[in-house]
Amino acid sequence: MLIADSPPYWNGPQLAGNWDVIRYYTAEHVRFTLIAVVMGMLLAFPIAYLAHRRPVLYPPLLAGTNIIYAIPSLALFALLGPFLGYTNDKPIIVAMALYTLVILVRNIVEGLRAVPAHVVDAATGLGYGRLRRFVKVELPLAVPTIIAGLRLATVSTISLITVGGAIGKGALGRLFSDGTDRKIVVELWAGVIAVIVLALIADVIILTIGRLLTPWNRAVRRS
Amino acid sequence: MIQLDRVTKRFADGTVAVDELSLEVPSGEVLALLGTSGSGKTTTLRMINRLIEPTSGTIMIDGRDARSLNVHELRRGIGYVIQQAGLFPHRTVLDNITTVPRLLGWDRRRARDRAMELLDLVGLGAGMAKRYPAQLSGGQQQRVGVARALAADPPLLLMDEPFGAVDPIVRAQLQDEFLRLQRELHKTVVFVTHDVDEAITVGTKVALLRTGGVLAQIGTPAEVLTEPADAFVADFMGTDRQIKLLGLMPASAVPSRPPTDEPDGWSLAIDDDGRATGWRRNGDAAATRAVATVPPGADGRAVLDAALASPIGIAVHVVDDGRPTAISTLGDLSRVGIEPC
Repeated sequence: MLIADSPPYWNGPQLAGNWDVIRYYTAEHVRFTLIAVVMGMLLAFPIAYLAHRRPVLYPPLLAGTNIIYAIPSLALFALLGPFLGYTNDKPIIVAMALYTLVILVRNIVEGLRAVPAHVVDAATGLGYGRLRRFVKVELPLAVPTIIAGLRLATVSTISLITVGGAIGKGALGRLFSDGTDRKIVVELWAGVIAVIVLALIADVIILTIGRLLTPWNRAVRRS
Repeated sequence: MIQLDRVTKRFADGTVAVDELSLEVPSGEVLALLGTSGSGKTTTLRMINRLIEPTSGTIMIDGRDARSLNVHELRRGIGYVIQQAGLFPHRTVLDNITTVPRLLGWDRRRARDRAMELLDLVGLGAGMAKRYPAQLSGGQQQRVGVARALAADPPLLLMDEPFGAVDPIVRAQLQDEFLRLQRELHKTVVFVTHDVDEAITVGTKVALLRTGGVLAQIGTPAEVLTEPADAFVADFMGTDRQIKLLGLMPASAVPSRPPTDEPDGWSLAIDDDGRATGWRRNGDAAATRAVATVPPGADGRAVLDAALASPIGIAVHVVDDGRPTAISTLGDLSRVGIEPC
């Protein structure tokens, strides 16, 4: 049982025979990123909605996300440890989620602010309630800006997770730290390339989702 | 019917935008709310659908206090058209038009059928249905804005400078179309504009507001033009009030006399086809003067224009084949607005 649960180990100086290791850490990396970004979005939306509805709160809320982002990641893992435990994956995932706020909150608010006033006015005048107007009119029009933020947040999360390698929780970052410790250059490079490929794929996926969500922008570009 | 009774709007900073304004818009009439910026005309309009709540006074809509109604239901029952159309950029023309029917819970099919009917009514083809607003011209967008406002067939229509963002030619077209629609639909309309010509064209009544939201005068376009209440109204309506008045009437309504009348001894020379070829004084063929004609269907300004173009100051009204039916002298024109016409 213990053996089955422990992560696979890089054997020898070469790539051959170590694909399982790369696959294992890539899967872990994807899982960390997904949970962190989804959590980040779930946190960012209410904060951004509040900042949008109460503009006085926007600067302090934004400052809050900036301060969180300014905390060095290793320090943040340590700070979260007492609440979430030291040996599980929670501190790194929660830390990543908190870091995304600095981008997501700002982009959601700016996206909502960029919705033309006359469009919001028309929606209100035609009889939309506040929440329905937000969901049906303001949010869809903010999608391009939100997607831009999501792309940035996701790519930066994928890259930032590797720092966790230093505390043994960095997913593909483990390949950097282990490769460095044991002087296995191939392992180190495998980690770097896997992170870059992952970031590119994630970016393309989100970009595609963004396009699918905004058919009006495509139609206008075509014509 | 919309009734405003001593309605005042004082904003948080103390500015009085509308001051003790009382107005009535009877059913089926178009009230043009005219004024410069700062005259509170848009504020007045927005108080009717409660986008702005009045500080004091009451607004009655078909006999019911607007404040006693659910605000969203009130708005769904009032068509709303604004400058720049305010269309939803992320929705197709069809989905823009079905907005209020969908909010009212119509099923998709009924809302769609209604939207197609409206597209036709506002002069847009069915091919426009699947386009997005950014793929339309400014004039087309405004037509969609009007169609969207009419979708649930509300008895009231609020229009806030609806044609303010399009060029003058398109604006004139849209005004004509609006008048055509209004003849058909008989909505009760409040139409905000800062353009005197637009106000007298679309309004059955014109209400002119002065700075601070005080009513300067309300009346029919002809009343406001011919009997301005004070110097402010006279000045606002312009130094060409008589000409504007002529623009409101068909040429046939301008005082005229039979073509056989001989003002100052001038008589019309008529050719074999019955067309006027020139003016002769006391039958002297050597001293023929050119004829300036007014085509059928023209407005009163064409009569003035023809009279001014004529060397002897007489406009000749003609029918399609060019035969004269009547003549108007400059003297006749000067009686416009003084005598009932």
